[in-house]
Amino acid sequence: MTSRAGTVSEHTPLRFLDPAVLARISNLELVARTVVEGFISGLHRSPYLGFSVDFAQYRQYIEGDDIRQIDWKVYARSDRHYVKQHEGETSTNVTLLLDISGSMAYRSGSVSKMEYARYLTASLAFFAQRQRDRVGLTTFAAGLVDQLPPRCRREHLSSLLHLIDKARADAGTAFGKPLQALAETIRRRGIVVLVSDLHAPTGEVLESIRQFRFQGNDVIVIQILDPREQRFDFSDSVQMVDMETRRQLVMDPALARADYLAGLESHQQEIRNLCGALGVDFLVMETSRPLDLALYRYLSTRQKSR
Amino acid sequence: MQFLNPLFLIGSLALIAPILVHLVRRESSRRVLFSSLMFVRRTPKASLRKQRLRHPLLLLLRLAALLLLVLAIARPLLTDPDAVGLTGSGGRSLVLLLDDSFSMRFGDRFERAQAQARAILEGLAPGDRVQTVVYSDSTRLLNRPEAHPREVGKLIDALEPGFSGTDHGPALRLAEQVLAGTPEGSPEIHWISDFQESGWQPGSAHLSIDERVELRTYPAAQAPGPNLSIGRLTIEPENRSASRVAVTAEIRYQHLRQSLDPALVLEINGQPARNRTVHLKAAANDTRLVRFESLAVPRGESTARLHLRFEDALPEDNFAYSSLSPPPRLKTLLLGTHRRDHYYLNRALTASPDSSLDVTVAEPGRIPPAELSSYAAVILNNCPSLPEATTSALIHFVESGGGLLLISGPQTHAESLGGLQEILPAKLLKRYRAAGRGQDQPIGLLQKRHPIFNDFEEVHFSYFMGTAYTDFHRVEPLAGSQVVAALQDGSPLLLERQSGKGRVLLFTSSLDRNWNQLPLKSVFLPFCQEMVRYAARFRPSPRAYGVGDRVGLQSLNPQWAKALETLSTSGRSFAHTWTVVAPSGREIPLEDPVGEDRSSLTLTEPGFYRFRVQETENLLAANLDSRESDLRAPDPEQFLAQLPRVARREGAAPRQPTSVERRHALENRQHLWWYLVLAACLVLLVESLLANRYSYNVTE
Repeated sequence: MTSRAGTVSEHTPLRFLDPAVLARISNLELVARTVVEGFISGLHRSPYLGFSVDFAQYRQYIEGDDIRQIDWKVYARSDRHYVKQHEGETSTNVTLLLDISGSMAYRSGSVSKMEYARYLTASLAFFAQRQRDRVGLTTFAAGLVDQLPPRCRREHLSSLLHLIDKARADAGTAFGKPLQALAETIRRRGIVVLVSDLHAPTGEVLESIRQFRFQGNDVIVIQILDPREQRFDFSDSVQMVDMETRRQLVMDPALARADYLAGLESHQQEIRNLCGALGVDFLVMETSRPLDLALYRYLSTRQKSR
Repeated sequence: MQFLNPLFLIGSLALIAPILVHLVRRESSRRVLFSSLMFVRRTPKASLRKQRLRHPLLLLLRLAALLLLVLAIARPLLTDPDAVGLTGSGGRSLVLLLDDSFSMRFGDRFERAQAQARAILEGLAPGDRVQTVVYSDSTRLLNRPEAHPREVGKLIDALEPGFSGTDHGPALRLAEQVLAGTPEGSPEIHWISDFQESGWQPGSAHLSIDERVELRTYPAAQAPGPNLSIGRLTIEPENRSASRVAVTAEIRYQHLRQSLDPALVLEINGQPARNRTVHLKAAANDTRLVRFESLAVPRGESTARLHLRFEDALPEDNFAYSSLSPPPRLKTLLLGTHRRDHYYLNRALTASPDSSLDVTVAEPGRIPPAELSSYAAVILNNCPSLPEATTSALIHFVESGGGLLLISGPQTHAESLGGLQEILPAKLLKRYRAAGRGQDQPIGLLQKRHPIFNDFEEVHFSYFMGTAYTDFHRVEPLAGSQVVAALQDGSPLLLERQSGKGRVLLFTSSLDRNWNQLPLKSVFLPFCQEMVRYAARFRPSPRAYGVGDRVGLQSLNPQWAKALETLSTSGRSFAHTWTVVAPSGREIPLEDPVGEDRSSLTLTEPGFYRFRVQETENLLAANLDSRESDLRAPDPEQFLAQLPRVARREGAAPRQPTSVERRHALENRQHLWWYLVLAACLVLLVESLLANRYSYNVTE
């Protein structure tokens, strides 16, 4: 894969990004810093460390813009308010959508999906903030739980990390209503990163993605799965309890395994197909894998969005 | 295939167990929280059952192991035992008659006997059956007839010769009885012994044997070597107080080709006390009496051991053991008004220094009633009336187990006896006085088998019969009494009666010369002593017992009888309180006495047995049967040639082995159960390995 960022292999050995190691770090900011610094140190060169002052364009002032950035000379000429933008200031709005539904609490090893998603979201936020992007966060389960609009200030990152840190898996998942409500608040195009296990009907998930995409956002869908969810390698007869619905089912995993894997594969394939059609990055992250892959995907998507 | 224990096949129901376990485990499935069941479809129940067979091999192995164990317990037989009889054509019936008496310890006699037995067993053909009779002075069957010769060989190899004497006769009789059930054919007795001459007891004179029995002898004795032994060790008190004793030993020796001067060491309480040599001239068979200087008896429990220092092939008979302490004496109270009445009786009771009776003479009114309990026997000799308290104490004394001997006399009247009359064997009536010569009454009836007369010979009874009684009391026997002796006119002379735990004897004449002349007869002394001993149930303890003797423990120490009584009432275990240690140092377990049976012990080793009861300890000496040291053995064939042969079973149908016996014998030979158990173990081993492997895979 080639980009301005240089050549990065997905198998770059990033020893700091092992989720099991990160789980021992209690401070989420430290986790994010460790991940991102580790990731960056693995890159050959970085084009994002400079700050450009080249003029890029004028754009009409909108409510909320800093009035200090209004070009008063243009106003004098045209009697309209324009804001002058430079190359280095074309920062992107990054909206992180974190699924905190009950199913995210599942774990078969040392790291639960929720923990992994928290590390990942925090790392993305840290990384984006380092790129001077405005980062916002929305956590959702059956409805919107917490929301923090994208901002670029350094203090904002602390609030964001705090929000991620307090996020706990809760109740069921609903992609429809909460994400629709969120989409209505996004006024500026940017990058939307959906971090979820996507344990919801395909149509509901795709409808949400489609909505973000139609608004002109670049969308990255990261599906977090536990290794056991992908293998379904239970041994004896078990009484399974759904972590979201509390539905119970006595079953023989050996017999149900084929059906389960087929269902999961079908579900993923449908999402992958539509994501492909919509130009959405779809990434499946297993909680045992390093976090750098997600950062890399984000990086390449951001490149495209510029 | 048949089964010895077909009922155990019910155990095959255990095969349901693994399936039940499976079902139970299915019901208690592990509860697992899973992120989402949206991709899981409900598994039908039928599928769940199928799922149990995911490791069908494991289930099969478990079922196979259970089945094998059940079959093993049922003891299968491969061949129909009814089709092939054990004693069918060609099957011989043998008895191995093996001597394990003390004399078989001489040299390597017993090893040779064992080797001979093994050789006989190896020569057996399939279908032959063999039983082994092991004997010394007692006989026992070593194995069941169904036993495999290999097992019999192992049992014989485990034998060791004992210290008991020899009695060939009962062993030969038992061997013949064992063969009595044998069907057609020639039953065989293979007799392995040193055929000691002294082993032919008097009862063997009338021995005969079935004419069908083939009797083969295997002498285990090799060329005889010299053997010295102590035949007898005698310790006798030198004076009345028994403070000094004289020790005499009889030395026996055989096959001595040259003169010897072996040392004799007499040890008292383990310390050498007398040491001397004895000159033995060369002889084939001779004895020598050795006297030691008298020695003082130490206080307390003392033992004497005599050691004849000479190395021969039978070293155990070079020792003799004895207790040095005087044996317990019977405490006897002789009550009477006038000492002259006791003149003959008292002398008879205390005639010898080693008399077993310790007699105290007193007047009835001067003996405190409470003191009666310290005596074992009380004699009322020509007593007038007794104080009431003494009468009550005497009744209680007898009820508690004491012995009472009442001897009539001129002063004895029915009225004067008072309450004592209740426990007497008869009611006293009028006195009989012979009016003149010819009116006196000789004894007309004497129960010669009564224990009082055990040691009497015919000549002694004639002395009794020849004694006339001029005066006696006529009596009316009461219920429960027994007449031991009666006069010619039928009047009872000696009666006995059980009263409570004690015994009362009534002699209706006097024991002085006023009413009869019995005190002048030689039988008077033993008769008086035996009457008292019998009344008190007293048996004098010898200084040394013989190996093979059965000893009543309560007789070893008078105090132990009371301890035994306490135990029986307290309900405590006999074995926990009494400890017996054999000369070899092994502790002998004792069984609790049941009912009236007192615990007893059969002595099996020479040496000192130690008895510990609460705080007291007694020693008991046991010596070898001196006849065992006499190794002379005639040619057994000569004896057997004289043994009468008789037709035992004219017209009697031979006893066929029962179907059950045949099944047992056949199964015993096949031992299929053993292979089944082995197979079950192997199956379980494979099952464990597989189960571990599956479990490991699941964990991974």
